[in-house]
Amino acid sequence: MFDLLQSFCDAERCFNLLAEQKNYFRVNTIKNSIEEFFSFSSLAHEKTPIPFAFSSSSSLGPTWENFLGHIHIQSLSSMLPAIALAPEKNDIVLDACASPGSKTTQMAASMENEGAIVANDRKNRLPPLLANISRLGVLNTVVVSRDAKKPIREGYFTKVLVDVPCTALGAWQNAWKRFTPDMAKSLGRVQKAMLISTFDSLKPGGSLVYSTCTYTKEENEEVVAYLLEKRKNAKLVGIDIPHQILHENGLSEYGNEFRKVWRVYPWHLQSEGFFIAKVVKE
Amino acid sequence: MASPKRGVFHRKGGEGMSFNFKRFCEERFGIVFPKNIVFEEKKEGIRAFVKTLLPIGIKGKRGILVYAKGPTNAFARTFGKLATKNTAGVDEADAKNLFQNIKIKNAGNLAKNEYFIVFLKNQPVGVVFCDGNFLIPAKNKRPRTKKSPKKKHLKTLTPNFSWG
Repeated sequence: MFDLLQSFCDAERCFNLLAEQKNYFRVNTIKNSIEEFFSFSSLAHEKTPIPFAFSSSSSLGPTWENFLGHIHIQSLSSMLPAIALAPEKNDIVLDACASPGSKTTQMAASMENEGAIVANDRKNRLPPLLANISRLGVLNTVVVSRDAKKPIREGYFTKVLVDVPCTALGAWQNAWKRFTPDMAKSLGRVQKAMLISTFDSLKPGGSLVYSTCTYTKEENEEVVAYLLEKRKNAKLVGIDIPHQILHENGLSEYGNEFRKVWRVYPWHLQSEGFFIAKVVKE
Repeated sequence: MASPKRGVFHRKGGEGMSFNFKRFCEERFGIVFPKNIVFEEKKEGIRAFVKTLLPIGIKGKRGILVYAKGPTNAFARTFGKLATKNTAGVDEADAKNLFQNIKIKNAGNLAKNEYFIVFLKNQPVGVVFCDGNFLIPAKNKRPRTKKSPKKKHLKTLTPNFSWG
């Protein structure tokens, strides 16, 4: 199985580096500005390319800062999809697979707790999502439990984030042990249905970010290529992140335009592996 | 308006008395909410959210639960900084106990049968109800999973609980 993974990424390097990834946290700017936060917290931290994110060598879980919602523990690369989407105060955002809510709450912070976010996930995954929303003081979110394979409301949302369920090869060191090609293919089918339905929920002129924490092309480029084929008004655009983030471009076997998508590997940020694509609806 | 009795949720129109949470917070804690915050009464209690969610019209859980048989800890942690009265400072040991739903002694002679917002190092940590001798914390709800039951979860987290 490892050889199969090696065919589309430097699997050994990915998994080895994943074990050495740093602890990252994000300052919850809904509660305090970054300056205010560090005026009362003595949490050991180092700067990262993202201004509101920091790495720490100490254990972040059992701290008051975490319990009281002043920080949120989140890998650096998982902050990228929400930055790429760049939701603003007046946006109506759909987060199709929201739980446990790291990206939802990050978007709420960048929207300054204004506008609206519809956070959707399966019913059994809602408790951690609701707990994080409550802990971080997010007031601009409606939590719903709908089938993400069907549009929640067609042509309504100005921005959509689809962080789909995936084989998690980029996030979990032992994921390759349970990985099978069939697993990637069957998840790919679900991801395609989710991407199509969420794209249909998007307002013309709106933008959508599709992300996974895995490396297989069946779950990444192939899914986005499927959307471009099925929906002629979908246009792949470049990812504009105003910070210096190392990354690789998407696999060009799906066409030159796939150079616009990002593949973030563990050696880029000492964090999880991620795939990010941005699409606009014309 | 008097504070509601602990454990009693006054429903709208119930027995001629409507519990106005906004007014309760204003009178009890001196909290003046920002104009864009709205409240809705649900079966589980009162939820607070921003006005911009009103036109969405998609059914679901909006914002955070601020009142459920009493003001919640989420309410204190989100809006506690706006409180101008009926607040109480605690030390780290007491805050840890409150976090584990353990009642603490009423050392500051706080008024009986009233709610207080508790602060640790100028940061709101939760709400307590004073029964005269003890300060009883509003319960901390945590998601429970089969793998990490509540008790085990808290036990693991407690020993190194600290700022920074």
